[in-house]
Amino acid sequence: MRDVRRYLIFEIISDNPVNYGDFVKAVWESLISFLGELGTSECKIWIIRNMYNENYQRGIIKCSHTRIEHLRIALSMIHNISELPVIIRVLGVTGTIKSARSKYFSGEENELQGNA
Amino acid sequence: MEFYDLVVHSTQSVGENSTEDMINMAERLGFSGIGISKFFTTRSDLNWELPETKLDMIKTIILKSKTPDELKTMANEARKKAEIICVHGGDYEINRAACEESMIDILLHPELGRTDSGIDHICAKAAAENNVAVEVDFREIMESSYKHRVSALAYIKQNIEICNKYGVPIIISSNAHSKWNLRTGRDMAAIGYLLGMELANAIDSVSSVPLKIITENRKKLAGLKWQGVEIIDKP
Repeated sequence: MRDVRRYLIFEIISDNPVNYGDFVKAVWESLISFLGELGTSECKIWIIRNMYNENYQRGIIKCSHTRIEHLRIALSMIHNISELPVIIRVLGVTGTIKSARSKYFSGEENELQGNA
Repeated sequence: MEFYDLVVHSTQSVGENSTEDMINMAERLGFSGIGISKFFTTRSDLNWELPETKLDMIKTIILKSKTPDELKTMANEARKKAEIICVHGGDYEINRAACEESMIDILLHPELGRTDSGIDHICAKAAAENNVAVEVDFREIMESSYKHRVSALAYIKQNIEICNKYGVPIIISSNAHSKWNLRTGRDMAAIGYLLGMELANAIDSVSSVPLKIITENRKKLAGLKWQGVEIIDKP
C-alpha cells in the first residue's frame, strides 16, 4: 500500500546563511543519534533539494505522517551546524507541496532553485 | 495558540545574552510571554524591572537552597514579589520539600545530577495536593549526548509517568542560557508527547498550564484571590 507522507516546512535561524550540504549532514546526524538507525528508517525522510531556499533559509522535508513529532524533535535538537549556532523551527505541516508553497513560499520569497 | 516559556536566563542572571536579545528571539519564535529568571540570593534580587514589550514579561524567581528549612524561609520572602517561584531541583530532600510547600509554583528538573528520577509517589501526591508543577527541562536534553541524554530521557519519562498517574501539572520550558537555546512552543511540546504525554496535554504544558499559574499568581499579588475565596466583581 502507498504510505502516507506529510511535508514539514522548516526555517533556519542563524547569524550567517547555512548551505544545503551542511544542513543535510546535521539533520541526518541528529536523527540517527536521537532515534537510531531503525527509528530513522521508520520516519521515511526525504529532504527535498530543489525546495531549499538558501536566501530565506527555508525548506521542506517529506516524512511519514506518523513520525512528524519525531522529526520535529530531531530538528530542535540541532544547536549548531558547522560550528555556527542555529535554531531550526518548524513553520508548519502540509499534505501537498502546492499548499506548502502557497502558504510559506509565496510572493517575492518564491525563488526556488532548479525546476519549480 | 499562546505559548509561554517560564524559565529563560538573560545576563540579569546566568545567561549569555541581554534581556532585549532574548525578547527579540522569543518574539521571532512566536511566544506570547517569557519568564525572565533570577536566582534568589539576596533581597535586592526581588526588585528588578523588566522592559515593556509586546510579549507578556513574567518575573520568575528560582530558589536554590541547601536545606528544606532554608527553602521555606526563601519562599516566604519571595512570594510577596515574584510572579512565579521555582525551586532548583536535584536533591531529594529539596524536591520533596518543594512538593509539600504550597507557595512553590514549579519544581525545576528534579532529576538533575541524580541516578534516579528525583521524585517518587510521595512527592507526586504532595505536589498534586499543593498544586506544584513539575518541569521538563528542554536544555538538559538538547545539550547532553550519548549516555547522559539517554539517562535524562529515561528519568524525565519516569517523572512524566508518575505525574500523569497522580494528576501533577507538567510544564515544559527551555531553561535557556542563550538566545540559541530557545525553541518554539510547539517543538518543545513534541518532547513531552514522545516521552509519554498525550499530544493535547503536551501542548497545554507550554500554553494553558503556564498561563493558568501566571493568572492566578497575579490575582493573588493584586489581593484579588485568597485560599478558597476569589473576588469576581467589586461593587
